Amino acid sequence: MRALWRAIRDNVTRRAGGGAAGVRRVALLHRDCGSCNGCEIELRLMASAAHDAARRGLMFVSAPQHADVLVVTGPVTRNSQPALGAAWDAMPDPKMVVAVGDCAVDGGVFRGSYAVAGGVGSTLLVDGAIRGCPPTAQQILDGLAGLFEV
Amino acid sequence: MIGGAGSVPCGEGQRFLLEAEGWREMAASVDLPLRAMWGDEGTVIALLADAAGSDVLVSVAVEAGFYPALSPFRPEAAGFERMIRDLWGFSAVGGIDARPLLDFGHWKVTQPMARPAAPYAPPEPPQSGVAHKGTLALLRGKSPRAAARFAARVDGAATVAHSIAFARAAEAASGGAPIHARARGLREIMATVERMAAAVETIWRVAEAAGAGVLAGRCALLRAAVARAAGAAFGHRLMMDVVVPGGVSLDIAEGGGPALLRLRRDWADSLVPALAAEQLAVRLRDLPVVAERVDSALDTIATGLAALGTALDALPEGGIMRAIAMAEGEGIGRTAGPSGEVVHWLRLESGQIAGGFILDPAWTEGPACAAARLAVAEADRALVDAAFGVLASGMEL
Repeated sequence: MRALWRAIRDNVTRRAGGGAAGVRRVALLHRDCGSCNGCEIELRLMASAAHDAARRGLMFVSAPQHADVLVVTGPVTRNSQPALGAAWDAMPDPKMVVAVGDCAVDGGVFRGSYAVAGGVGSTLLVDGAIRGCPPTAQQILDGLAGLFEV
Repeated sequence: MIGGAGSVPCGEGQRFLLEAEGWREMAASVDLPLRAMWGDEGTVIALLADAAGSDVLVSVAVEAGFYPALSPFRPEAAGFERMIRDLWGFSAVGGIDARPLLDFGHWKVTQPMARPAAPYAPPEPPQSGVAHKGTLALLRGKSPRAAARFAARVDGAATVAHSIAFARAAEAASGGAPIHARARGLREIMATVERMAAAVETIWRVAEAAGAGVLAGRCALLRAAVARAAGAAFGHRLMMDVVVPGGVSLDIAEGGGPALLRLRRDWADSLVPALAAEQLAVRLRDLPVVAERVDSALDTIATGLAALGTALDALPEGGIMRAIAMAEGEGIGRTAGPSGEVVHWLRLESGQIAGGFILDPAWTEGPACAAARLAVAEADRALVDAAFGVLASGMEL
């Protein structure tokens, strides 16, 4: 797993023209798979001036084709599974998936519902998990950035 | 006419039981706004508001899976009829829209709220329903205290409002003594903070959509300050799971009051009011529907800041939690949420939830937003979406 993170880091470093100086920029794609919006509130704060995720190299993109890391929130409802799979398939290699929030980790309080597949692991192989209901903006930022400080 | 039918008690009010004929007549002739419709065992329930704005609950028996549609007379019933079909399997005879709303064949059951749930349905590609988590089914068979965490997760931006409406419905259904005055005061403080947080988010979204970057940044800092203050006062940045049936689960932290009052300084420092007036007024001149919502958000913040001081000063001493009775009965609970009124209905059997429905403002905000989008130029639609900020999770449950 460390190797995969390193591959993403080296890949994005090359793309950014950073070379040995190590300009790291990681493109995040967020997918809401039935979230209550709690994790989105914290994610928006993380990306905003309040926490300045961009300063630590984390940027959100809107197209899967430009993304290195898929950030998933919500318990992964059965209705959301096809779109989640399609987003993952459209991302170029190397790529990773991080589950943000208790719901995305294992379904959270919604685990066991007929409408819920139960966490990102139901659909994709998960590379990282950040727990909390919701995790705070700082926890998400530390969790994501920490994955790259290999 | 409605008063002539049989009825069962619902909290302090009642639910009128209508025959199919009376139900149709009511739809055609009674001119009360329809707020919501949902299913329960063998019945469909409609929530109307009378001239004074009070609840009028009416229901009709479902026969062989069918009940008379209200949508030919009340187009606003169509969405609810589609939901009832998908979740309970009751078909509205003569309804104007038979398309699915939530069930697109991805669940292992159909009609999950019917007993027993029917297996499998043929797959179709989903168009909506992505946020459907099966919340209503998760409520069933649990005590109100245990089910409160689902009410708290209908909409993270209105978690306090949904928790209050849910708690009030449970308290009304169990017919117990009123909650402690301190609990009521704490609920009001949390609701005020939540409405302010949502108002800041509204201005933030509109500023982003309008390309007002400095204002958006200021709003983000202010939103973060509200989250910090709420966390300091109530142990959770969104104040989730604090409001529970019977009262509140924890008291305001020492230093929580001053933390909340410091928001007044943050608000003044952030210059948001001045910037909002200056930057947005120009951009929104031709978009009254957006400008109105920004003005109303600014109002919410200003009145909220003033109300916080008063509410904290007037907070009574005393208990915060009262056990609620293991009762049978129905109850309805409501409160003003950040984007409109939130209404919960619960039916308890031996102290456990046997049936329930959650009415989120998204049911009315969604269509209102769609209508407003059509009335503006294509380039301005993002601004309308930002001003409304409708969340699917609230409606799709």
